[in-house]
Amino acid sequence: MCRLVGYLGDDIQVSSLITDSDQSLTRQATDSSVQNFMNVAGTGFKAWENGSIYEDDPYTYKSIELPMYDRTLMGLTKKLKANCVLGHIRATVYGHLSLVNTTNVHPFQFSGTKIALAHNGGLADFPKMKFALAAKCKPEIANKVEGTTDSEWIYALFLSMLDDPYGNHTSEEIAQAAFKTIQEIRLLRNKFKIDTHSVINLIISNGKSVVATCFTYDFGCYEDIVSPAVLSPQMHSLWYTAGDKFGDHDGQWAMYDEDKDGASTSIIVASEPLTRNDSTWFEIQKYSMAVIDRVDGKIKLDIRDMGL
Amino acid sequence: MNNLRKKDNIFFKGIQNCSLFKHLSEVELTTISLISTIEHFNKGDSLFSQGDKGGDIYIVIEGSVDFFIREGLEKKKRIASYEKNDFLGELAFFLNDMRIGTAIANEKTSVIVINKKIYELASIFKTSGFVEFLKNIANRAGATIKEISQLMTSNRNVKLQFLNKLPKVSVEEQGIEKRREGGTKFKIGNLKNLHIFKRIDSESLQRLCKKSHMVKLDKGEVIFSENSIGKSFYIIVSGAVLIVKSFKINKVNKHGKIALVPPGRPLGHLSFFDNSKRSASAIACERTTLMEIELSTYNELVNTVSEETAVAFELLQGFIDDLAVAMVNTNRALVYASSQLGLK
Repeated sequence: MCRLVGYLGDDIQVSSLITDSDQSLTRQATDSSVQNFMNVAGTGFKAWENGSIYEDDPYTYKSIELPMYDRTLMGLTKKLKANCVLGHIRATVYGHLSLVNTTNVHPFQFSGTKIALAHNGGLADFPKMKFALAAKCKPEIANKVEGTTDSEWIYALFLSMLDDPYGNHTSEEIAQAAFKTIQEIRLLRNKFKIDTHSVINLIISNGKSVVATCFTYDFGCYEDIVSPAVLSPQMHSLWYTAGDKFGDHDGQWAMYDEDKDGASTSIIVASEPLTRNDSTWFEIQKYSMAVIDRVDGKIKLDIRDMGL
Repeated sequence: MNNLRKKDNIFFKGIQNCSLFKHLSEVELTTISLISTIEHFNKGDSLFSQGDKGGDIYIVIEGSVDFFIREGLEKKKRIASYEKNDFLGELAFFLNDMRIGTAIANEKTSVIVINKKIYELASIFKTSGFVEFLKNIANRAGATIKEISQLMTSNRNVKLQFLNKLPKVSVEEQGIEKRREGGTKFKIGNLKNLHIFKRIDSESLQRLCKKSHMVKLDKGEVIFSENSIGKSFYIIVSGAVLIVKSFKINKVNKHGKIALVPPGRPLGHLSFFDNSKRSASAIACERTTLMEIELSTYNELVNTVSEETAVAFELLQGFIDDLAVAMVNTNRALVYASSQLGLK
């Protein structure tokens, strides 16, 4: 299972999320706290900075270097500050059939669009539904798919659920499109009689809002072989921590609440806690969607039941 | 044997007088006394502190102990007191040896400290007394989970996700007998992958299957309802089950989601340990296949010396492993639900 992270809040040094914290994204590449599987098939992130040139366009990094040896990644993230970040390290099946290249690295963002998406999970029997899914996408969006992953097609379908894939969107519009995407895939699965455990945990952002889904089709259902993902729901869990400042305070990495006024200015959503001490992280229930905005400098979090 | 461990000594009597060990034989009590020590504390001394690592069990044999949990960085709240013959510290076993609170001697106090190896001894000996010990321990853990769940639904400030409605009649109430298929239909290879069966060899698993039933459920069916009395427990073989507790807010019925249970985890077993009513309802949230084991069958397996006794014991161990997961998850769910207060 891939690992992913989304951040919205005060300016943050990007390295604290991606490489520095004691359970950072790149540490999870080989030392995840919830799975014994390496996530080394590509590292990518998008970073939006208020006030930067073309501020709606995020800084983009994609690489298939092993993240723990990637000096470019370490050097760049140390110098970058951002108020919104979407990061991902990819896992794929070990073996020659898997294609490891930068076109398959998340987060995906097609040229001209303002929303990026990263995915943790996988759609069982995807080849059976791939062409039917492509037919549900807007043609000019489907034409932009370059890679071979189910995740990029999910992104194409998501964009196609928006009235204007190239426009500016509110968090509510993004949430509605994400919901419709999951519904459409459900219909395709029914059509092609696909009914085994498939995870679709997404983090989607336009730099101003973050929407995250924690959803599994046919949870726990399998044909003949029980996969580790079925037995270990932690592999496809989703977590958040909120406060005022994420960092290392006296050797303890955590999101701290410095002004103590009860309203958070920053939030991290991730596939597993980014800190060894996970006592300030909260798990988001399955079948839920988190819709996150920042209003007057304060985080507004709405966790919705997506229904069974 | 060392004189200190003979049956008239302070260890033996101290352990024997503790309710946790009331079913143990002399031989079993003597075995436990071999891994026990006595420690003395003055008023104000701490036996252990919140966050410490440790899984030993403490029995108070003189004096008393107060148990506190932290509220914020400086405040602490007393949540329990223990007096002569009471035991404490056993829940750490279910929480990766993490102490969930601080125990402080309330006066001059002596305790018997039983090494956490007792859990290994129980696994090795598998005698009826140790089975009862494990059931007592599991009962305590189960009761704690129920208390936490109760806390989650009784506190109006805690935010839960809700189901709009529950089907009125459960599969158990409709007559689960009509839904049963032969347990021999289960694929042993698949069962072996499930956590709860990992300790059991294929042959024993086949025997267990013969004593069990396969029950298939459609999405949305209620397996059992809160407050019903269970005659069976279940193991989820495929699919998933949502645990829901019902309560009223402003006279309106609400059904709060407590947990989502994946394959390989048991259901309805908490009632088995304390013979109580079901503490929550269970709903199939996908098409789900369960292994049903009737309580009468299980009790027969445990109490009769046969090849199946070992299987029943391994299953009990599986329940206890599961309680550890459930306790961590339930605690997390409470923390999550409470956390929703701070973010608007």
